Amino acid sequence: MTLFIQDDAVGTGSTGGVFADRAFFDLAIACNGDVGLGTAATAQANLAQVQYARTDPGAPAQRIDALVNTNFNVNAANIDIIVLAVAEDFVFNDASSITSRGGTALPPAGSGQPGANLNASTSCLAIYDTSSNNGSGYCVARDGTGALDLGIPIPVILFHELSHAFRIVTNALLALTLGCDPSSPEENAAIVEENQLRDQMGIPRRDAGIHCGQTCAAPPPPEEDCCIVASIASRSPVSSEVMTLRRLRDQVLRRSEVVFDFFEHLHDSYYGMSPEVCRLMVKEPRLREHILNLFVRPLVLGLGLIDAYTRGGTRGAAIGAKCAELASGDGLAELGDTELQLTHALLRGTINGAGIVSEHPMLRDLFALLEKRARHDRFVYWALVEPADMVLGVLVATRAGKSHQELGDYFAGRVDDWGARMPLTGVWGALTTDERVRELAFLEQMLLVSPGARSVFADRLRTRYTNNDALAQALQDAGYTRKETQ
Amino acid sequence: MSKARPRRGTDQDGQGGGDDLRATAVRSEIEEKKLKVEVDIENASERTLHVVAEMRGMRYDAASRRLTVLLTDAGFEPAPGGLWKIPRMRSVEPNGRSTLEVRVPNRITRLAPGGGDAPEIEKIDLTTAVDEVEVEVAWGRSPFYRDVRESTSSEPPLNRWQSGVAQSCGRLTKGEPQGA
Repeated sequence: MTLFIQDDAVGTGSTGGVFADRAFFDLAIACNGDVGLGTAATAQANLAQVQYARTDPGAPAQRIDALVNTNFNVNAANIDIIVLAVAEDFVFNDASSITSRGGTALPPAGSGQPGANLNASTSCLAIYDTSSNNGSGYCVARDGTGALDLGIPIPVILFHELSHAFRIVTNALLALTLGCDPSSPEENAAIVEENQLRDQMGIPRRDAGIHCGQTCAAPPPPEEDCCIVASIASRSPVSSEVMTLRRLRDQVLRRSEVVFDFFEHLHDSYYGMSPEVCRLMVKEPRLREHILNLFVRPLVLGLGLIDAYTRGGTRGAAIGAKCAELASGDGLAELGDTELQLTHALLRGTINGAGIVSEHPMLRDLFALLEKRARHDRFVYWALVEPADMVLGVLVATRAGKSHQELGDYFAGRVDDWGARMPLTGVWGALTTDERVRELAFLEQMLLVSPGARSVFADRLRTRYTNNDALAQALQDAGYTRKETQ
Repeated sequence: MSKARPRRGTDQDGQGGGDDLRATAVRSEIEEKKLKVEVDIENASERTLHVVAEMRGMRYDAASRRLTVLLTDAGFEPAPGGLWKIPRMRSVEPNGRSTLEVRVPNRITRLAPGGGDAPEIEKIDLTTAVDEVEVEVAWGRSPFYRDVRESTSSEPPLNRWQSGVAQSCGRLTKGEPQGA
């Protein structure tokens, strides 16, 4: 008999920091209200022993049964696992707040397992937050979408920690890393078991591959922390396209150091300016509509079209047909010639007649900001400005009556030229030959689909890293260049 | 892929931003059930910077009667847990100023050191035990976003993101608690 609930009858300070009744209630939820669950007093004033004569057949009840009725021999007193139901004022011995974790399972002090340093006792401790993030709720990743919009009820947090506790006391703890996406093997296992209780409670499942969470309360106002695309797209017809692109970006980021490093540079530049754009939008709400129609929509649709051509393998007249469909779709079809000119002026930094900007004075501040922060930044320009500009080119070509094949050839040429000019970062110099070969193979799949694009890219790499035999070898091994014959 | 390469522009790649972001003043006062803590921050750089805008932890030092409110994960240890909470962020415009306001519990509950089979619990009433409040704020060149590369790093994700930590302190204002 090895599962206990602690209260704070012993210790310094007033009572009210640990809630034994709440812990029993949450265990009862896990046991599906099984009447076989109870507690008994012990010789220690601050511990009650959990007793369980199980009748419920469910997996969560079976787990509680195992925890209660197995002697794990964690210590000589057979006090194996202690549940502490705490509130938002609980902090661990490393100063971290319970509200930054939701809950935790601490291995016994001196056991050498992760978290043991935070434990002052020889028992395993399952500590969890009953305040639900001080009333704001914890939201975790929803199975199927990965969106951080799934609430985690308090009994589920306890059951998650007991899943960890079970593997701690059976010396079966899996690998634990601190990244939350993807989740570590140990957190993945705990979420899989958490989902057993979710199924029993009839609530949606959590994504076992993502351990991240966030406060469930309303998002902060846009001027506090703003991605231009997200803040505009979230309430627009392109919101689902943005979600798709985000997932694609995250999938790609997992597999490529080069792409990850590129995004580091891009984020560094982009987030150095996007909050200022968002503040402009708060100051002038009509600006939001302009930015949606003139930039965000073309950008998002353009990236989707590029993905269809590169990763999707759509070529020739088929990609041309997609171009035509895009050009006649919602939003872009209504873009008049004047607005098209205005957008070109904004994106390319050309003043297309003082009249255009003077007709739209609210765009003056935006134009000045883009000129100062975005135009000359090669990452922002390549990743955000050029794809939008490609779509405008498609619009112009479509309105000029080009055939699907002609549109396809035009678009393919633009993408191949654009892909070959992907900004290079210093990460190439830090990779091994094998890593470079893998990265080049990856880029061939994702971006540099034509031999011409790969040749130009190879030349750029060789120019940047002259006399680098290892790089030359990697380019050869990846098929970007041919072995030079004597 | 097992990568733990430092993130760009961070402390860990040696390109941390020094004192581009500074905390200049801390004000704190006792409310009915919370301590209200405000910290003034200044961005001395020419680009927008991003700061952690919520409390991640608290440290109390009895000898100095100082409470440190942590808007950073520095020093946090890895342990199995329910979730890793992504912090709320705030941006500060170039050469701009802002004031962060957090409300923290007016009591700390924690495990007392040196427990046996079962831990002892200690509670510290911060309204009487604290004279000074210090705030540490982590900041970076972009809002925190997840590093989705599979990693063997034992550093908390927030530590890998940050370019620096700004800190300041001030006396705790004590008086009649404001109540409903």
